[in-house]
Amino acid sequence: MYRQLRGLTEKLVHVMALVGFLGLLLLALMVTLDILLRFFFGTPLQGVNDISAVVMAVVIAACIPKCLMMKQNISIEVLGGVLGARANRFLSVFASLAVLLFFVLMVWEFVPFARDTTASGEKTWVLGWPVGPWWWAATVMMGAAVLAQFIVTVEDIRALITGQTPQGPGPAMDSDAVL
Amino acid sequence: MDPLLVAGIGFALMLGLIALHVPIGIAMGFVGVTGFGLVVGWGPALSLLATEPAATLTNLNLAVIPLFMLMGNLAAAAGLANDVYNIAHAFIGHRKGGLATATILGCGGFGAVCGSGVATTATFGRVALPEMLERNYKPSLATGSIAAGGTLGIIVPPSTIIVLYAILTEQFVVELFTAALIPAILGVVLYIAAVRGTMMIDPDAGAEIEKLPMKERFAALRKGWGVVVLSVVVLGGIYSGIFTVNEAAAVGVVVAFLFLVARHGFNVKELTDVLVQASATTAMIYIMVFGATIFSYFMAITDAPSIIVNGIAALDLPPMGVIMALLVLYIFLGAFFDEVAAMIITLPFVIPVVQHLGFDLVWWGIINVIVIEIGMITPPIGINVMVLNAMRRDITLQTIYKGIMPFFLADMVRLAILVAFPVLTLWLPKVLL
Repeated sequence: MYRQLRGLTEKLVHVMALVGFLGLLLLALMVTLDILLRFFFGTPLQGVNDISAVVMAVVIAACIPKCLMMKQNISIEVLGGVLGARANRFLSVFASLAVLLFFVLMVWEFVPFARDTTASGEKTWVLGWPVGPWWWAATVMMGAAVLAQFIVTVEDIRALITGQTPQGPGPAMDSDAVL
Repeated sequence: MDPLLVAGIGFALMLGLIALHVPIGIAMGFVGVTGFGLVVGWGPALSLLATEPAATLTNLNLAVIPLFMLMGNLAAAAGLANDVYNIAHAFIGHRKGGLATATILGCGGFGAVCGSGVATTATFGRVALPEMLERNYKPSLATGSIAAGGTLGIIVPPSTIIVLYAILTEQFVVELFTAALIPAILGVVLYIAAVRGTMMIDPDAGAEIEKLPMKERFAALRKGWGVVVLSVVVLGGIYSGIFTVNEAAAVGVVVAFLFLVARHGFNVKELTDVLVQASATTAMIYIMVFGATIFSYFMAITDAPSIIVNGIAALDLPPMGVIMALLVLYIFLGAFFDEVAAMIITLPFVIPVVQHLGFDLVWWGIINVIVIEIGMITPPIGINVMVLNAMRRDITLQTIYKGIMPFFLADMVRLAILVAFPVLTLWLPKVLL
């Protein structure tokens, strides 16, 4: 049962990250088309900024579960290295629980935020698209992040108990690694 | 409770959580919410967990980061790094230490289409390292030039970290990109001088190789037009004012994507790998920004930054003395944190101080990036060194750090020059913008 859940979650977050960044690629194509139309024909696409603002929130939210699943958080793991393997595993569990709690609280707060935005009837400036549904989509993505982090936490707890390396996720990263 | 004490406890708690392996963004977020809750109330504090991330997710200035990240990954996958290295190799590779110099120039050139220092290091570790070792270059010079050259990725515009600094300090990204140009060129020149210096001390460090015929040189130049096109489109578009930074990043993604498809065909697996990797690293940055903005809220309500500014003003220290003390602080913090984390954690305190002392935040941003560059090649957390060591386990960390030394000295010289003469950083934005 758990193994199935883990497999499904891994696939889900992979697809979400892929779809998210495909969305970013499409957004880039749309912006380029807008520039070309503006430059050559003086007729820009309407509402590109509108689309960018709402789509970008969903794109980034879609990437977060994969980041958590891959354990690509920016953290400093010097203490665990000094204290030894068991202490390192214990600290991994502590850190995973902290991340899990943070995202649970975030989703907890995102639900009323999406509900209020929907209820307010807020729309984008140019195209008049309702903003609420996009925030519900972002909230669902954050929910998937909670699921991904739950799996990571279970794996870390299992590693603490069995003394084995956790399955699946890669090592935590240093922030320079991105930059 | 004294607000400064509240801020101090919060800061210490954040450091404690980070020491306990809690990711930096999460630690900042937790402390920010808790501190805000204690001072203002739990309802408003918890709501920060939705309002701040929501504001970050819809911040179109920040959207430049995933776009540049994707552009860099697509460009690397399309083999543009190989092209720029091949050009430098064809023209100067035959000289003594020429391949190391070609690596420095290649890294600088690739930095113009890739905003990541580690990506640049990893790419040139694959492109240049095997050839240098095959041509009997000493591993110390080969790895040292790549690790140091890789740091150019974060100073040559477009740079992800410069965008991050600009957003967190509310500076104009284009101004920072323009200000980075002279320091980046100075970096390349000093690194080339470091290669020359190494060759003077140890003439066997880099062997001479055969000179390529003129025909082959120009063939390399013709083949390398891709990187020129991409950098001209992105940087030319920004500096000429044709595009906004966001538009330039979007166009850069499309051009890099077209290069990838033209060169490798529509390879679904390759494209999937590029997209997924870029997405995970993007999320990593956003999580850190979520935490940083929540933490900044907490710091703002304690009023600690202005208390610190007033305290420093009361000491009546010479402004440059304070700047030197801050640089020493960053180098000290670099022993425990990586420098990017150190910059983000300390921004809420340091920026008001730098501003109060009358220094330009654009200049300080560039100085900060150079300190981060130095941190990327110095122990104990020299990420570029770690990347190369992971790629070639047979080359020890000691060997790489030995090779780094001339480049480290070059970096210190550059830092001293830029601190002493802020005009070198600030002149170009004044003239061009």
